[in-house]
Amino acid sequence: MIEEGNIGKSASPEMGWTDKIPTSKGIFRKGIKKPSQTTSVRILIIIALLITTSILLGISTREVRPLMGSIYLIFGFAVQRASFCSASLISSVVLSKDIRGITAILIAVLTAMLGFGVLSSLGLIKVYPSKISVVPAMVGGLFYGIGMVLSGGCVKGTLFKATEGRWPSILAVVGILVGIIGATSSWGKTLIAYLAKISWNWNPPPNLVASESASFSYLLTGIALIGLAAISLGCRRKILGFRLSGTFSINNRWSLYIVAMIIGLLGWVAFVIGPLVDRNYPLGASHIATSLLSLGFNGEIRTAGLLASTFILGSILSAWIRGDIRWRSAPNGMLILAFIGGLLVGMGAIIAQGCFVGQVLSGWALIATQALIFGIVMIFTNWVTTFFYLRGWR
Amino acid sequence: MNQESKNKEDIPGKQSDESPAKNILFIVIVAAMFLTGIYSLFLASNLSSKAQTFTTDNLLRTAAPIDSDKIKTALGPFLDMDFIFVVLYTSEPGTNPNLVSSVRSAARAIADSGITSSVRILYPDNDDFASIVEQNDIKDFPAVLAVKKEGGIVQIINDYSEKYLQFAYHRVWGKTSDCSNDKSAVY
Repeated sequence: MIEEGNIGKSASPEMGWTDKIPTSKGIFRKGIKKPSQTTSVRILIIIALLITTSILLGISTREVRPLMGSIYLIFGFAVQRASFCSASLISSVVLSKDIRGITAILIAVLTAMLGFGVLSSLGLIKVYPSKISVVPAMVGGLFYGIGMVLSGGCVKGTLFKATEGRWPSILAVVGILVGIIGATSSWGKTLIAYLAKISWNWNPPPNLVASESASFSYLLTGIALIGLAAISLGCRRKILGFRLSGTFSINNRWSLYIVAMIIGLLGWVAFVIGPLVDRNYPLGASHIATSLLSLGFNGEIRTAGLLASTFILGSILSAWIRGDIRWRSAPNGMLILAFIGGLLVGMGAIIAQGCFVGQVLSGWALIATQALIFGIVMIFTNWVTTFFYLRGWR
Repeated sequence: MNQESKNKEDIPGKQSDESPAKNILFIVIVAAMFLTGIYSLFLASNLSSKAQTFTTDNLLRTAAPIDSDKIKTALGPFLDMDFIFVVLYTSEPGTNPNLVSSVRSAARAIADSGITSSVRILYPDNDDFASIVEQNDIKDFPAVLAVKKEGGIVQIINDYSEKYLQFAYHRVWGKTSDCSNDKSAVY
């Protein structure tokens, strides 16, 4: 049986990274020691209690910010646990002809889509058509696709890898923040407005099928069920060359497919409770990176700041329990490229109005046209960049 | 995983130590997913074809281009909006009291999607009323226009429900392919 846990690890954008230890002392020299099994169990029990409390609080008072925080805590924990890094998952198709990463992404999208279809038909979520900007979506996808290969991760990927003590990812996070500042500055806004005005007489609808139509929810449900069934069958019968399997333990890496399904399920809950905290979309990551720049300014930023904090906390706890927190660096050239990659990722996310999580994991699940345009451009750009940069034109 | 089970996995067509019950359960679940999925798509297709009769019949192309100075003047402070509903009344809204609330609800729903949207209500005593009526060749009142800032005006007739107004927004905002005849064409 092929284990899916090491996708992209052997030859990923992390290729060339070393365990180069800085000259500092203490935890800066060795990283943070893995806790004992008992401590790990205690940490997980505390997390479970916090989540339960946030659910009860949400039900009894309709104050759902703690619950939203819990969702992002689980999100951060889960993606770290399976190293669910979109850059590696997508690149592995070109690097090693490995489609398991793309399959995991599809499972996350289809799981979310199934829930959105059912919830929409029950009236628990309302999908509004969103504003379409075709050219910004394409340019954003281009920037994002190149940047994610250079930096070794998307927004969430660099965030959780940074919590593992990877210097390239820490620099990539800095690059993302600088990119966001640049794209939200006056010249950045001018550029985006200019891109938005470019038109080829092609005005696609916001969603492939009008989201207010009765057929929308049935369409989502139908596509999701057939897609998930096809993947299950393809994996079981070895058509895809691997089985859907994996571990789900305290200390080890989790199955990529289980985490993909968890991400989809988290999207359901986030979408249902979102309107109670003034947001009407499932999951996103670029806004939590943006919030790192302006914590505590107003209500919206406070919520995003909470989500950023809980996502990072979840990643740190997971990395700690796995014993993954240790300083890892890379040659100076790669560090600079990681920063530049982060810069492109940050700018791409702002130009396209969303990152991998918001556009692909959430937007594709709603058959949102802009998200589909962004995602397709991003994936192809990732493959081309991987071919030239990571495979060296071979 | 030991070497033996690894080899077992590598034999094409050979299943691992799955019990027959597990295999049957798997087939039943996958078949149920396929059938439910196909049935959902069938329902979606059915609803979609029914919805076609609801579509562009109540939408009329208007004569005025959006870049007309008169339209721009008429939109006044709302010109910065991405999308505007313009309601034209010849008298107080006694004849159709639900119209304005329906239009406002639709505008709010559109605004929730991140598009700046608003409602402009005009009466004959407003300076811009006559020019809009003339430019858009409006004969029946009350009249509702759906205006996209970056190009596109359409007049909505007969059906002023929130759903239909949102549908009109969708058509004005993007899709053009299903507008085949002049009487109900949308651009």
